[in-house]
Amino acid sequence: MTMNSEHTAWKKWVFSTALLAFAAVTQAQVEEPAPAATKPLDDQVQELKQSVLNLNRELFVLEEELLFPANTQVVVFVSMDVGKYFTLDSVELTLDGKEVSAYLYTPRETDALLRGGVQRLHTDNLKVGVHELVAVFTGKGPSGRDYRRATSLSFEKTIGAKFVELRIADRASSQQPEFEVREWE
Amino acid sequence: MFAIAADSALPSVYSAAPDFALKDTSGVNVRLSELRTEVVLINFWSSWCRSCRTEMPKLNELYEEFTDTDVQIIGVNVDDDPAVARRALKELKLNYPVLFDDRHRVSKAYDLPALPVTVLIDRSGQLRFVHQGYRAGNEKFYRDELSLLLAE
Repeated sequence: MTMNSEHTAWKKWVFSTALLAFAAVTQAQVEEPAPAATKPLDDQVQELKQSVLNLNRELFVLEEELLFPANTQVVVFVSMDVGKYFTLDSVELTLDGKEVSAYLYTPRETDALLRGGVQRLHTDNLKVGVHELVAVFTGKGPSGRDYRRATSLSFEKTIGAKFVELRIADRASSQQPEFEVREWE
Repeated sequence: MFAIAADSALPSVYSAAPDFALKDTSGVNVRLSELRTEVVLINFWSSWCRSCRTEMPKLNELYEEFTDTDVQIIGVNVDDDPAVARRALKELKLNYPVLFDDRHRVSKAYDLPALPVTVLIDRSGQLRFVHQGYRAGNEKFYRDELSLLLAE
């Protein structure tokens, strides 16, 4: 066979092979079952939103566990009772001599506390051992006078999370507010 | 004018505006996050800053212009002594609220490189525009940006 005829035969072979392959693919496509009906777009968007919310929640929990592991975690809460004798303005929190929080309360936040809300003021990591917490409360006392009181707690941090509550309550007997610090068991 | 250089210390645009609470001139505590759903313009200033004192009357005009809308204009003074700021305020005669950051916690949180600095925060609490310094005519940009954020 000459070069030209060999080349032509090669071209015919390639063409016929490609034609057969194309026919096979087309046939396969024709024989494929029809795809299942797609969900409405609204449903898909809702599912996606829910997935994002779930992921966000899991990431938040993971972040808390990484930043404040239960073994070293200390959480300080603030709560108020009645509030007839004291209007809270701010709380300054010191742990082992270091200021860790200075929180100003807006009227809305004070109202939430009076309605029974409990505020998570501060979260920290502390080693096992004895530690000292000092809280300074500033606000308006009886008769609208400026009021500033401190309370302290020396506590033992063991393995496991430690929860401390700063509670402001009215003492009717003396018509004065009282400030207490207590550990949650 | 609108963008801040990549090496700026200020929080970046589209990041959450650092939350804070400060006392206003009446002694009431005001928290930024309680203004969520409103458009907020915060202007950081001090009594010794000449540009600040030139800009603030313009902000007062904007405040009047955007009354009865969802725009809040707030001044944050960073003087060490609020009494000094109060004396300045008497001369400036502003109508918008001014808060005192005498302990510089907020100016640290916003990492202010200089004064004045004006930031605009959208309804979801994100920083959207940051302006460092003041030049005559800046208030036009503030007006356009406030209108844009209000429309969102």
